[in-house]
Amino acid sequence: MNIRVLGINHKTAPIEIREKVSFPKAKLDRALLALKNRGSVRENLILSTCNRTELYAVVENGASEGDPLVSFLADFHGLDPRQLSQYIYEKKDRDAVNHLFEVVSSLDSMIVGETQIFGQVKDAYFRARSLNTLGRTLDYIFEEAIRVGKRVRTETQIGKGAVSISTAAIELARKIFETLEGKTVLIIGAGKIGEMTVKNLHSRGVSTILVANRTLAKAQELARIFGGRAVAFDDLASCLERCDIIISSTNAPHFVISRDQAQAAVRARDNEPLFFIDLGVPRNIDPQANTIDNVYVYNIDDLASVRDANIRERMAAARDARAIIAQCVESVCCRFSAGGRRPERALP
Amino acid sequence: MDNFIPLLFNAAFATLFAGACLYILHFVGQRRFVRALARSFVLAGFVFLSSVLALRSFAAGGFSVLGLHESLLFFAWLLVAAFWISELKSGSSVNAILAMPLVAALLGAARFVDNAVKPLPPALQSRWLGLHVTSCFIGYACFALGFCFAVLYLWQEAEIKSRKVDKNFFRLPSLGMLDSMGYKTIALGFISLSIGIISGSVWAQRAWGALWSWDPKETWALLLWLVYLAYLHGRVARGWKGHRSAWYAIAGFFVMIFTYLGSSFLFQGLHSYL
Repeated sequence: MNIRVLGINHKTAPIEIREKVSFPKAKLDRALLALKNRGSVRENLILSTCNRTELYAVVENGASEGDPLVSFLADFHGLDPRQLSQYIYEKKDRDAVNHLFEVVSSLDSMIVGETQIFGQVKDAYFRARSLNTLGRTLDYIFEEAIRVGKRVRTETQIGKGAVSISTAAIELARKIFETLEGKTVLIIGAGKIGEMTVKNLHSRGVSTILVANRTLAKAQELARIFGGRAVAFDDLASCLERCDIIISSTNAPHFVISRDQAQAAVRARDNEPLFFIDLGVPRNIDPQANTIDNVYVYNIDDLASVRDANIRERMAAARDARAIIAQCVESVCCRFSAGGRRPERALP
Repeated sequence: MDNFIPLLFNAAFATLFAGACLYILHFVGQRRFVRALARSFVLAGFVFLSSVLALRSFAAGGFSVLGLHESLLFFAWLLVAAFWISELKSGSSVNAILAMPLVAALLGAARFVDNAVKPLPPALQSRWLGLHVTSCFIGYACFALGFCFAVLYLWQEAEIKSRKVDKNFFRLPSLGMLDSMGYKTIALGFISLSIGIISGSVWAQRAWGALWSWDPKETWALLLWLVYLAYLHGRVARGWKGHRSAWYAIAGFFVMIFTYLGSSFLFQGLHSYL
């Protein structure tokens, strides 16, 4: 087969190195064409994302001028090949195919199961194909890779479940409310996770965002950022009944919302559910509020345990994915073992 | 043909039972082809069941839902149809894990009941029979489906309240959907039961000369109607959403079971042929 892959990723190199060897869009075409005419390289494809730079190539048999891929990478970016070598991984043939299939299935990603990498591999493939740097071998391998990526996504649970605190909160909200569209969210206090959750909710169609803060000026400032409305801290109790989701991350030493206030609010809104996301330490919402019908209270530890459960699920899904990949690598290698060229499709 | 009906019935029972098992298997394993298989089995079972009902009506000489055996079959048949409509509306097939075992249980019970095809007695040879029986049983099927939604609601609610989500949290639909689907199904069932009771009264007025005769079945049907009227009133006027309304739907289901079975078994009355 003579397939080679050379790469640098988040596991082997820090950001300072990765940024030096990446191929931004503007340089990508030039790089693909330069690599095409280099030594023993017959086919090539470059995959460059923020977490990885990988060069895929088919090289001629018995080439002896050393490694054409390392020297190309170093030359193109004006780096010293010896300095690069400690960050680099190289794989051949079967291992290279296996690596590509793991990458496209998001097993090699920083967050296992994330969906972006699939599109990035596809883009890299189309870019290389349009510049004619692919031959029959890489063209075939990448078509297979895209098929494998799709299969893993549909046949395993790899992309399911939220793997951060803020997305876990969204996931819960979506299991409580049928839809987030038209819902009202209130954010009390300011905090990084809280802000991320609000942004996430906003992109899912939440219609109204209310912002409360000890100091009204700060509330108004945050309200501007979110495109919401500021609420005076003293009016908190009275505006509860208008809210569906309440995110609280103040550092108040006592409960900001008591069980009775939550009870009154849910009653006032005819038992429409109320979802409290309590990110404060010490806790901002009386945990006893969770015992009220149609009121749900999750604190930061609860959300973390949801996230951890999801991560464990993804690890289990990764095992299923590896089984699929092993099977596909086997069938690809079988087809190649005959003549090193892309075989006809008629084979089983 | 008389030998053909039990054969078809057994086929219907076997396929619907298998369909119920497959739906549960899909819930546990989340494999798409299992659900596709479950759907085909239920569809096949529905076709078998339809033919049993059609052949029996043909043999009896007209629309016939007479006796416990036929009513169980008809109930099961309507429940499958009601499930399909709710599946189409909600986009979720999870309710099948309760609705389909219920269908299989109805057919299983029908196996133990006298299944002879009886000719329609003259007193029941009326155009009103079809309307009265059909709308009452559509009501029953809707209430049974509403019960399934309520059980799933309470299950998912317990999952979320526990604050330790497990696999079932992901498998079960959202509370909002379960609540609103349960409400819609029961509202539809209520309208249908109302039509059933009114058409029964009109028919009774013509056949027996009295709108209402406090027959045990009538009394229980009225009670059932009042139970669901209270449910709807609670939802519309008192804001009984979610938790309380789910428990109410479950209680209503048991009143319905008693209205359907108990009042015929325990008391003699005008509805003794069911």
